[in-house]
Amino acid sequence: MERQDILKVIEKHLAKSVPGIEAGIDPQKKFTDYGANSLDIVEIVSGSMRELKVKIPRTELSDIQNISGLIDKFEAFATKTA
Amino acid sequence: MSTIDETMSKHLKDHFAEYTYDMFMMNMSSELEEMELFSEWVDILNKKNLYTFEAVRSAAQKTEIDLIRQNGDSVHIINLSSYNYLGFSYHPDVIKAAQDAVGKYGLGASSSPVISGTYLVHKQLEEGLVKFFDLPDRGVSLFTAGYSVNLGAISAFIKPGNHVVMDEASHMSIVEGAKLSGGEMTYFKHNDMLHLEEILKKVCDGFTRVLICIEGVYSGDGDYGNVKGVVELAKKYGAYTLVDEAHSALVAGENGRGVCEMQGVLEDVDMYVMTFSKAFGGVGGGVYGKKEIIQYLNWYARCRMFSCALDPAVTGGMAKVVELAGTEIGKERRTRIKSNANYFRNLLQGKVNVGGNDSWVVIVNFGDESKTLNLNDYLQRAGLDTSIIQFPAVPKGEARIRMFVTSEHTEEQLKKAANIILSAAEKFDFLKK
Repeated sequence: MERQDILKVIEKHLAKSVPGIEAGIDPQKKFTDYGANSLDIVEIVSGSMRELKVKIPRTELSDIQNISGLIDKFEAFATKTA
Repeated sequence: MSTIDETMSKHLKDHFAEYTYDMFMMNMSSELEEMELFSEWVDILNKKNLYTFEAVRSAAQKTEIDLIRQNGDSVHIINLSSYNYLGFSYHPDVIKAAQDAVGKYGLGASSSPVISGTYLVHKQLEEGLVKFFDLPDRGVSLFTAGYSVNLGAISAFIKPGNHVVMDEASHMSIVEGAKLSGGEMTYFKHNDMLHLEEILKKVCDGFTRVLICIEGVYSGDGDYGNVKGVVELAKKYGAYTLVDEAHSALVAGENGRGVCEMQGVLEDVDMYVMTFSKAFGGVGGGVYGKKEIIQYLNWYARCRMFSCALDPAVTGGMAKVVELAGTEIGKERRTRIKSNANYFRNLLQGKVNVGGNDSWVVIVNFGDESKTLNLNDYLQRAGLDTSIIQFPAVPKGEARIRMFVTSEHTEEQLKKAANIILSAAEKFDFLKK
């Protein structure tokens, strides 16, 4: 699974929660920088997990600093889930 | 068969205090993992005697009551967790009015208010409210929940292509109403008029309908909304305003007409939202505004149109509450709640981190959400029931004890409550340094 593909999925779910988001988000930014609130973030993360079919344990999510950090987790757990 | 594996179970047992509400919102597959996990979490808390939620009351929400916790433990507490601000839910005249209404109209309204569920008692409540707020050409639309008012009113007022601009501290019902509307959504920083103006400059183009949603008292922060500032900006940019006075209607302002009255802008607000479960002592909600808006909401707020009308007993009781709120009794109780809130806040000020301003929602910040379960258990067992809020309702690391002061608390009860908070602050390390 390529980082770029994961980013596209995340971007899609971000746009669902926060209307008006255009393609090409910056992975170094946080979801809150794009106007997502804490419950939007839950939707974005779980929606992305379902679409990518990757399970990241709940407690692994608390230390994520930005969108890039989430992509790292997807990469790490993609192998484990597979 | 359980879908929770041993590693997950062990992690939950070892780290139960770190689990927050949002963690059980995720479903990662077709299995019911999050529900099983949540159920296991509640079981763990009950076994450890830490499940303080959903404790049962066997009498009215008075200032001092007995609670029975899920594990059977009984505790006697000073009640600062219910928002029965003016104590009207158990006022004898209110109970009598509710009894009379149920005797006359029966238990339920048996129909949507638009079809055949509007009773005389509903009209009495509407007319009582119109008289209470005392502005010409205004009406009230009644809903069966305060949550539904925002959900229905915002989604009827705003269509796809329109825009909702909300304070970032807005209640979930405002956010959900905006989402349901299909309009564009933007948040402005809490009470930050410069940020709001920056947004309005971009979205108000003379064609797009823009609705600014704020609150009279923000219950998570205990502070007032800057309604005056918002109204001025709305006028300047041609936007509309919705002010949720859930925690301030009947309480704030000399005549109880809310923060809008307090800040001198009642007449300028387009939709004034009330929740009847707070100072009204009942349940349901309403929106007050110009007649043409109200008439439209009656029909186009879908959660109103497709729900049964408010039940007659509660409606009858609340009509009496509105009447009392407009008399000397209401005035006295408004004076008392303010002096009680000031008295209580002064007992805590300087010793712990007290948030908000001078409203009746008193906030004490304790920061670390992993303390929540033990802290709440400690408070209840020491004799105080509060409403603790933590992530995701507030940002991470900003967990807080929220207390609703009422007009009916005595100074003795408030002093005792403050002492319990201070002893908890010492034990859980959140005394001001």
